[in-house]
Amino acid sequence: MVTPNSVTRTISETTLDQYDLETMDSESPATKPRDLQSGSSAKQSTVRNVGSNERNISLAAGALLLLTGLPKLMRGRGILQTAAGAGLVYRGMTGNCPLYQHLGLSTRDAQHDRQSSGKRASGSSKGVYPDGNERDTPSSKPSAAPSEYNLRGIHVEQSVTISKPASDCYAFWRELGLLPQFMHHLKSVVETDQTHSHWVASAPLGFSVEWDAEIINDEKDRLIAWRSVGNAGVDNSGSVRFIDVPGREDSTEVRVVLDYIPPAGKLGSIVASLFGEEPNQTVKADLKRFQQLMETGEVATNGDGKPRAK
Amino acid sequence: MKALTWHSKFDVRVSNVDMPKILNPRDAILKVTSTAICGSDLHLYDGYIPTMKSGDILGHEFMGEIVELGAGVDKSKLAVGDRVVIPFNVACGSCFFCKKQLTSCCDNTNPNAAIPRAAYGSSPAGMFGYSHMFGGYAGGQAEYVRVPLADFGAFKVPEDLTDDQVLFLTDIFPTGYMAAANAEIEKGDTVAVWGAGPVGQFALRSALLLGAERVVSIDDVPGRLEMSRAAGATTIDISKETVSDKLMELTGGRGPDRCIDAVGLEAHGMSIDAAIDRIKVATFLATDRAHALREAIQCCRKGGTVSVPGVYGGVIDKFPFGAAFGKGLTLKMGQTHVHRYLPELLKHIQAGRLDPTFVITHRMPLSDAPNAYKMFSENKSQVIKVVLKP
Repeated sequence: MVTPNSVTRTISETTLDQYDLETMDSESPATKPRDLQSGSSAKQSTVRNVGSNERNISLAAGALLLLTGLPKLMRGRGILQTAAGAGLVYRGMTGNCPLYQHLGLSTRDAQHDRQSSGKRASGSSKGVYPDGNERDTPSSKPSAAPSEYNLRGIHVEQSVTISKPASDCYAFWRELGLLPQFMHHLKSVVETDQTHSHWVASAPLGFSVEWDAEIINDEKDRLIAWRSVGNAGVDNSGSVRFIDVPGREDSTEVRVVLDYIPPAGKLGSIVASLFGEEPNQTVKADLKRFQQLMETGEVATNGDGKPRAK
Repeated sequence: MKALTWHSKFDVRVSNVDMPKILNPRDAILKVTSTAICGSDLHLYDGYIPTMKSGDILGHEFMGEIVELGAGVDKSKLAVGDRVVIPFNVACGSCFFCKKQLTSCCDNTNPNAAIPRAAYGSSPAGMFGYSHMFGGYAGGQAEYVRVPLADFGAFKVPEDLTDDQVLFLTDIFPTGYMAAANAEIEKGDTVAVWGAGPVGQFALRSALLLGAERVVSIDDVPGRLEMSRAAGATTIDISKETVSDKLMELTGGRGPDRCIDAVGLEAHGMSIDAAIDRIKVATFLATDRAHALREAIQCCRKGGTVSVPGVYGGVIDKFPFGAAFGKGLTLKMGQTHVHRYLPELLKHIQAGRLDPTFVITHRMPLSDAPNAYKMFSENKSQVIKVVLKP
């Protein structure tokens, strides 16, 4: 079995982007996200978390609001408009959105950054500072401690009974790249070696979060357990058990236990629940689709009720 | 293509819609040759069923010819050009419930399972053209329809049988038959059937097929009672006679051995907890509609069986559970497991033991379907079953 500490970690560029090194104030390295989220007294740095297109749009829209708002302000009106305009101009010029930062989100485009600072394309845990020097990234925070799961984590337990042998269910699940077929919030899972993988999941409003994970327990046909490592967009750990149902041939109880720390603490969960992503329901729906795949070979769809009259 | 689409209460139209597409490996596309309006389509027409969306294609009784197959369809079971009938419920054939032949309880075919789960604890199978809480699948009152899991959900029919003869294998014949099978009929039994609509008609004929000594048909629509008498049933017109008195008189004071409620709680529709207010309103309406079920329990002889093919969706007020318990009744019910009964019913048709065409009163083109709904809704005495041709 792999001991977590012996693992050499790979941080994806886009994960790094969330807590970028190229801060507006190069003297103060990016504050650890943990501090940002818990609202500690640590100085909040202005991280760049807005993509280039969005920056340009913010700048243009902000300028327009400002230009039309300022004359109104002179007449004692248009305060909100002017403030919004100023906010957007700030956002466009600095690439920092305080709201995104608070929610732990980023639309910053990795592709663009790669082109503008070629050395970072390697995806290593080194960062290039505006002064051109390469240093170890101070944002390489460790995995969340168990106490953090207790304090701010969300715990999910769901199960489903499937009319297939445990060996079939295990084999499908163990091929992690197939998980997005039934876990609809996942965009991709790429296995980097026997026990390591890189996960990309959808977040509300079209954003995505990424993390690296390692399998920490793997019992053939019985159990898979994993946890995220390093600077995960969402710290998480969990297990799936495949249990033979007594007295029923080729029938397997699939039990999932999942713990995760949502981005920006509970706020992330509130935001998520606004979008119908209540975690227990999400996992239940995932397991239902897993059952469909195992039993019928496909995920049931109604094609969004189409065809239909407009 | 043309399809009958639902827009709001009493508003159905023939619309031009896109052709259905293969979406999953085991899908088939069916060119519809015949489709029928079901009594339960009237619940949709009357606006009783929640989770309908404007533009939904209706229809769950349909048949036709396979014109396209997905890559994953078991080719030993189905081929392009096959003439098939399609059960109204979508089922997989491989889950726990399908393996027990409880195909209306299929675990894998409702993409919107979360909605009925909230109301019922778990979701029944998806259905064609019957609201989004039951799957949101486009229905078959159309020129073409997508059939998911087609290698389990399409049944080939012999060329020597007409569409009219086999069309009702999709729903009402198996529904009436399952009602009779659930009634556990024994030799010498008197079977009372509440409701003489299409399902009641098939239930009483199936009861005779399964060995009932005598069938009593209960309704207040003269045209329907006449159809029951044609099958050999004794009839009770509820507008003229007291049902319980008449049944006791007919059974020498004992009560009918088996009672079938083919009425259902139309006023309740398929209420879910999300529509609590509606249920409260419906409960008031249902004090009359639930009458059939209460009366069946009240009239049934001790140790008898009450079988319920009529559709219920919400909660029932003043259910006489004490009477059911005190008399040791057996209650059986549920959506029809069409896949289970279809093959044996096809044999009954082939052998000439039951000709389902008796129930057809009207044949119309699909383009005239809105008018057909209106007629069916307003004139239950004359219009019993409408078959539509695309």
